[in-house]
Amino acid sequence: MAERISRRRKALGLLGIAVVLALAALTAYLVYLDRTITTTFEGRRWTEPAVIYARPLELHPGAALTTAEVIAELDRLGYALQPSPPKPGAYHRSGDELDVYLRAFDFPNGSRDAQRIMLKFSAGSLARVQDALGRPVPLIRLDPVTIGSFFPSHGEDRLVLPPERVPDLLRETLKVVEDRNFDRHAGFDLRAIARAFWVNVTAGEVRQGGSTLTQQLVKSYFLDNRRTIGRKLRELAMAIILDARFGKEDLLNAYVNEIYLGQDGRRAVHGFGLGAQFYFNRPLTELDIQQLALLIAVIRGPSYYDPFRHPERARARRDLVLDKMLQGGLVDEDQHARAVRSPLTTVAGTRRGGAYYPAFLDLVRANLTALDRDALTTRGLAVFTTLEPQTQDDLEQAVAQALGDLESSRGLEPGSLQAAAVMTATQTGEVLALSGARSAGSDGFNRALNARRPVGSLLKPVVYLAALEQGLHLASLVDDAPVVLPLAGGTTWQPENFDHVTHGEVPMIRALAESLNLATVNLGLEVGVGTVAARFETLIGRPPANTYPSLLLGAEAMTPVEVSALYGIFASGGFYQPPKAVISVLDESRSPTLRRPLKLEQRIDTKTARALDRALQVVMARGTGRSSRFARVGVAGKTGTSDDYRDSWFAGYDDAALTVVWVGRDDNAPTGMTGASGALKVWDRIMADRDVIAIPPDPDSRKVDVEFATGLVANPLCADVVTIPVPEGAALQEKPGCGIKPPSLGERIRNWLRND
Amino acid sequence: MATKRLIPGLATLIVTAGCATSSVLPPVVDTNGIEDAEPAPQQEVPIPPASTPEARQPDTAGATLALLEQSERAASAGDADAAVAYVERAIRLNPRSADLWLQLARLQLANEDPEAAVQFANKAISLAGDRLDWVRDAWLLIADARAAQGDGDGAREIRERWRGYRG
Repeated sequence: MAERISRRRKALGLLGIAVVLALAALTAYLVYLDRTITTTFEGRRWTEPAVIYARPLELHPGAALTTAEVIAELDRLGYALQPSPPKPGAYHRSGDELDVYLRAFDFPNGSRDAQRIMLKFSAGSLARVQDALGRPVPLIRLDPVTIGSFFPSHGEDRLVLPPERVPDLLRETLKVVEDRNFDRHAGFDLRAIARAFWVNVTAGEVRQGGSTLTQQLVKSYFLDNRRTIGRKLRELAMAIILDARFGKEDLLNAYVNEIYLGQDGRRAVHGFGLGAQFYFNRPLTELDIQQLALLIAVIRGPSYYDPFRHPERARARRDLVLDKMLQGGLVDEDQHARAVRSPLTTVAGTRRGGAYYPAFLDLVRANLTALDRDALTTRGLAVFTTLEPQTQDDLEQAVAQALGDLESSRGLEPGSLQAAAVMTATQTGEVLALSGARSAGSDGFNRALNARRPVGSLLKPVVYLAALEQGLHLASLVDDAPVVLPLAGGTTWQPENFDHVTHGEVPMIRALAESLNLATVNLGLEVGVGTVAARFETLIGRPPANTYPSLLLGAEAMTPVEVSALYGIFASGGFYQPPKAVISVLDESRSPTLRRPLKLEQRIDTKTARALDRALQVVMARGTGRSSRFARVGVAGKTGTSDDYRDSWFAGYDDAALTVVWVGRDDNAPTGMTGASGALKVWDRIMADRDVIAIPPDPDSRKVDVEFATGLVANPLCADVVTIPVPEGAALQEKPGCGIKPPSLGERIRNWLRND
Repeated sequence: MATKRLIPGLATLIVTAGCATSSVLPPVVDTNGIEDAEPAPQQEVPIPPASTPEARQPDTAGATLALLEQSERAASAGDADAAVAYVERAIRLNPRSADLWLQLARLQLANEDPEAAVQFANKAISLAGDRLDWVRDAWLLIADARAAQGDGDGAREIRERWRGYRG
């Protein structure tokens, strides 16, 4: 008996201890929960991906811009065409005049307020720029187009909005639709839960959720997507804690930036800021009533109500939201009627949320290795780049079209060819456009950055450069005669000319223009393969992988971006500028955190660089580039073909832009195309979209006319001549019957002053 | 120091901004079947001059002037990065303007980056063409940069060479 009592007491005691322990554990858990979620939420930084901007379009009187080109850019920016511009983000057109209300924008060197400008076009250019008061504006930029964002691997992309950039109508409608008692409840709403319960029981299925906005926020911010009782209780506890700790305003704003609104491939669209861009290509503040209603409609099920895939469903729910707006007194009858009549105005396709250029973004990422990955994906940086959206779109189209043409005209299997292209500004090295694949939208292998392919004759200019630097000149003779070199293992290397013909003694200018293999090998052996290899390294900053004589004929694999760096030196008068995509980066408070100013390094003496530049112009006018429709306009370039026609290369430039093109197959099988019959055709197609600008003549060098075939000084009356620069004191032979005149005294003095 | 030479630079820039290069729509040359490394056919026609008549010829003088003024304001407000950024924008509009590259060189020298200044001055020299006054200004700037790098002899030699030259 006593034993039994004591046993009962013991049991009671144990129970008591258990209850106390349980209570203590619950309290500890709540305290822990409170502490973790409160600090997390207090110190919350939305993981806001870096936004990447293109180069803004510069508007100034005299700019080579047509009305259509400016309108195309305004379209990219999501500016609305309106009868008269009532608000920022809209424009009005009358004839050759545009009246544009620019949005406010934070540029790297200060913010620009929203403002109206009047543009007048005439004869294919921008004739006049004025402000709203009719005063002349010397220069103003459009906002830059968003070309992508660096969202983290879990895919959350967003554009964080401060409270002042959230329309009241959005806030109020959210409450009316999702959580009527938001301003009064303590994080949860018993009446809503009861109502939802009743609706669901009578309907026999889940039709309504009783979650408050706070609960939805908790679910999205802290929890995963499982539906369990334990999770539901945790959600409730967290909602109560958050509601007790934070103000309603704060919570609502967090909701606006957090909530999931749609999926775009790997990219999850979070928050209304990005939602507005994603569905309408426009800032949230510029949305009309029915557009706001659609965003709110989507919350309940972003894939079920996806307006792109299920427009009727989405429209029905949008109209339901509009009805609730009317019932809640948020809009009047008129506004409601107009909104309900409006079709969905979502912007589909690549434009939504800004066009995304994955290949160029790879280069941007490569340019930003100074910043840690985390910063790029979470800290809301603004990255300003060199990309020209119109140029990029043109390039992508040109590449796709030209490859299709090549396949059909050469009887190749459709879709078998691949390509990469890099376009840079000749004098700054800034990348204007980049394509890493035939279809540029695909997020796959980036051939422009990562495909290393033998460059063939593209490398020859390095051989001729080394020769020029050893005192030879473009009229110096080289022997285009057979070469046999012993290789290790008793075999021999016996290169041949393309046409299997030897040409004997030819001037360097012709050997390069016609891309003669034997002459180039003989010249390279005379200069020294080691010298050429060393020169390759001092030009692009890495040694060649191949140091055998076959290097002279381009048995060296390079990426298109590397080739672009090499030819950039030739195109800029001898200055090395690695292809550059990033100009500057602003942090979340819009102050500069990184700048990539223009930088260059002279790697070829200007005179020699100009001689090489001239030789590359002769390649186009007289040599392997002469099938180009631009051959005689004053552009420069070089073809390249690798063994068995596996790789077709062309690097060419006019005054403004250098474009390197590679064409080949991913399986490295032969295509049957040379540089001239493949890549050059693509280059031609690319340049056809542009104002091709002749390379200005080199004013400084002594120039002579020499016979193209022999290198003998001649004149157009007595021979087929090319004009080439030669160094002072170069020994030149005259073609019998033609005359030369020595350089003038003034010319010699100028040259002496110019050089040390 | 950086902005002292700006104003004469501006004047010359306005004068020369109109004579950049120009473009033309090329004739379509039918050259079927031409392959890499084939010999060119013998032609009697000499190569046309590398400069051709006009198509779309941007006029950047006013815009450039505005940017240089903004650069100057930024420089005198002590914002060296902004001063550079404005000149870079001007260079994008007018990439072959020796004067603008020279201005960039001046800003770099004022920024105490003599090496970058020398490179930009070399670029200016390479583009100066007949403007021997710009060539001289660039060389004198290189002399200043050399002096800043501790190469007094190099600086003296350059100044000696240009002494007495009056553009």
